[in-house]
Amino acid sequence: MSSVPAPDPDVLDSAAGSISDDAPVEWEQVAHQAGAASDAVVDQLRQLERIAKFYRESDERQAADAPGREEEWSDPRTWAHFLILDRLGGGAFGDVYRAHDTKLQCDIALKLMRSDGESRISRSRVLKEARLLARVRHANVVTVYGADEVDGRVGLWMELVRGTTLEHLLERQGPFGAREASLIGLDLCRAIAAVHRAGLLHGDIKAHNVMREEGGRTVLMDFGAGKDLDQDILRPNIHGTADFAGTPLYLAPEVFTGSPRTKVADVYSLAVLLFHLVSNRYPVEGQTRAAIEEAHQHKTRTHLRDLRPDLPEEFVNLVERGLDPDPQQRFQTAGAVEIAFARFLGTSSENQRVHSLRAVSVALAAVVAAVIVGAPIYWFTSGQRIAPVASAPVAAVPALPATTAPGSYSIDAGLYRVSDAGESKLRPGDRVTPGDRLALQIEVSQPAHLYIVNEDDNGESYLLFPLPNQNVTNPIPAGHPVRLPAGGDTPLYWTVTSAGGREHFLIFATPEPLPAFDRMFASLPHPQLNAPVVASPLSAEAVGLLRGVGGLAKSPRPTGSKLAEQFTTPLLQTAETANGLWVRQITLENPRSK
Amino acid sequence: MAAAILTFEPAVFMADSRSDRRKAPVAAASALTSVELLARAQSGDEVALNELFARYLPRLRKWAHGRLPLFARGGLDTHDMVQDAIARVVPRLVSFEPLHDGGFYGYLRTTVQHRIQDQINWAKRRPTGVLESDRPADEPSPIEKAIGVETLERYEAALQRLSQVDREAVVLRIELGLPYPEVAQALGKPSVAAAHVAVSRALVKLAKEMDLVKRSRS
Repeated sequence: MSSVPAPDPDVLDSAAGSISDDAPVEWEQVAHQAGAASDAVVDQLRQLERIAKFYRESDERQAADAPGREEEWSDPRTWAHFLILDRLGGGAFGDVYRAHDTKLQCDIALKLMRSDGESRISRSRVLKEARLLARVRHANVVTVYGADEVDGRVGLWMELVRGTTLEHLLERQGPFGAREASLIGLDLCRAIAAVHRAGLLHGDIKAHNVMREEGGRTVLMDFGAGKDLDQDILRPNIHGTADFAGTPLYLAPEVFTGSPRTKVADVYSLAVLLFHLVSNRYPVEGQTRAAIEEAHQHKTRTHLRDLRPDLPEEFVNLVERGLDPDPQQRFQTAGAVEIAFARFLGTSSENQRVHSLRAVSVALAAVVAAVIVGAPIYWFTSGQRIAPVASAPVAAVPALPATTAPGSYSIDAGLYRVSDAGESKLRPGDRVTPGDRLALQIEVSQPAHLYIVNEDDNGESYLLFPLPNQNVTNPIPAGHPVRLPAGGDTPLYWTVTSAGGREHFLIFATPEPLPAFDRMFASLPHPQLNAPVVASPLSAEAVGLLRGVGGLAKSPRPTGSKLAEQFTTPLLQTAETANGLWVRQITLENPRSK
Repeated sequence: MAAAILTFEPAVFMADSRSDRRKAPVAAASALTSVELLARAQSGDEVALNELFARYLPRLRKWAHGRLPLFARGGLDTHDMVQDAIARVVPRLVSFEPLHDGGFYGYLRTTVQHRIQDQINWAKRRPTGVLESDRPADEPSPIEKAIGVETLERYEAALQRLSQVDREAVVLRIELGLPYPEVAQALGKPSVAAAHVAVSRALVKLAKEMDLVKRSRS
């Protein structure tokens, strides 16, 4: 005959200790010993045992998913000849790191496939991505440098794009305007055209896959779902099923029905992306892939005009045409879309110009009425000659690389202080004082359009280049150093005439002419020879334009904006390789004397 | 890959503590308690700050793993969540006063928890029908799937009703799986045995609170 044990108050502690130790618990025995009054607590302890088990197994899962994940950061971590610096993020198939190429002595982005159960798929995907990308060379398409398999891990290395995705921009700053979206669209059309020209389809164009680089370049990324036109376009899926690579929300309706992908499917995805950027919605939505497919079948979709009644008609029509369910009714090529965007932007920019000029003239009037003392820098001429460009100190102007990747160009710029004793190259944070004479020396590997703006801490700015009646105009010539301001036989300088705060110099360079830039910067006040210049803030519309072209990282300010807070990449002391628009800032301290 | 290329370098110490492991850790910093490291970090010692986050980041990532539902991920994963949360903590570091070693971890954990919740709320606010993958938008997180939404909510609610020390004992041992010597150090217990007792008793208290929560909701 068994006896009933007396309730044991410590039995719960003991069971809890077992949970903590991951030791098995005889719950019936615990319930028995703890007594009926403790049944509810025992039940909850059993739940805690499940929770503890989840966490333990979660750890084990992680360890299994990513063997050596913790160990992988025991320093230094390398792969091939790359020193891994930071993990930038991860995707379904691998992790992406910032890494240092020890051979070329530069930082790159390294995508390493995960060594998990899907390794064969991942390897195939990464190598495929590398193969496809290697065939495309364009300023708006990420440049892949190579791919390899080392110690069982497949890796793909490419240019390091410092910036943020359009999806993140959308999250941060809300829906884009038509102009800003169109400028992005313009870049993407060129990128997609380059992809198609290489005989490829992208297959996964979406906001997550487009980066806005610091400085404003739009970069199309991730060819994981890409297809080789030669191999894929003309024959149906071998299983007779639909080809679902890519993101369903961006997929063209014909892809759901099993039609082979074409360039026009990429055009559809581009239109979805633009729709998404200006509305934060998608034209066809659904909670599952099947729901999206059904919505396509029933032609249930949202029209852009219903979401954004404020958008220009031309823009809305352009996007809607790209979204036409009938592929034949869409733009047939990315180039056709580009032409439509260019037409829209040309019209729109004319309208904006009127507003922009008016805004600036109002600002100028206000400044003049307030009788502001002379701005800190004069457009100044001097009888003193400085050393000609050709005799500039060699050490201060490193020679540009002889060649650059297609679509990119080299640029080397430096701001100099000129004194009787010679010239010294200024670095960010250097101090200037009234009387200092400044000049910029720049060398580019291909002709470039250059704009230089001086801005103070109050956001008051004016144009330093291009200016009328100078020997150098846009585009500036390539292949030799150019000194600005350029006065021909009479050397010119920008001269600091008063003190206070800081002076920001913004330098914009682009290999392609940007008429919108010309119009915008032309609206800024500019210095007159031997006369003080009255500065004014850049108009809000102009900043809006810059935001579109330059890709500001921050949310737009409600009124006005300081360029120096938007374009923060400092001017380096060495030559750089650039793609598309290049923007650098150098800030000099100009304190008032005590 | 696109989201993966996102470069996040607000500052050396925030970018990712792992990168700092390239540098040999300062021996003196490694030997310090978290409270001591925090004090140094608050006075501007970046080495201490790096060491502090290097100490906690792997644990936070483990903890955060599985707490972010698929539908809420956007382009982010829990690594990004943790890093983002750390970035939020740094500016407020100066005003934080931990009572003991485990306090700072609890603070970080709460911040990460809030960041994850923000992300979930953001995802839920998105227009209905929006899809990031083919999974439904109301899909539970992995932990919710495994434990059950109700039980998990009861657990979280009861955890908040515990004293700070009991709560940290549970979190450090159960959620993070810290070995007892580290639990003892974090809780300021004199021995492993004392830490074991502290965790066991905290679990019993937690079970009782879970029962009370259950009764109050039924």
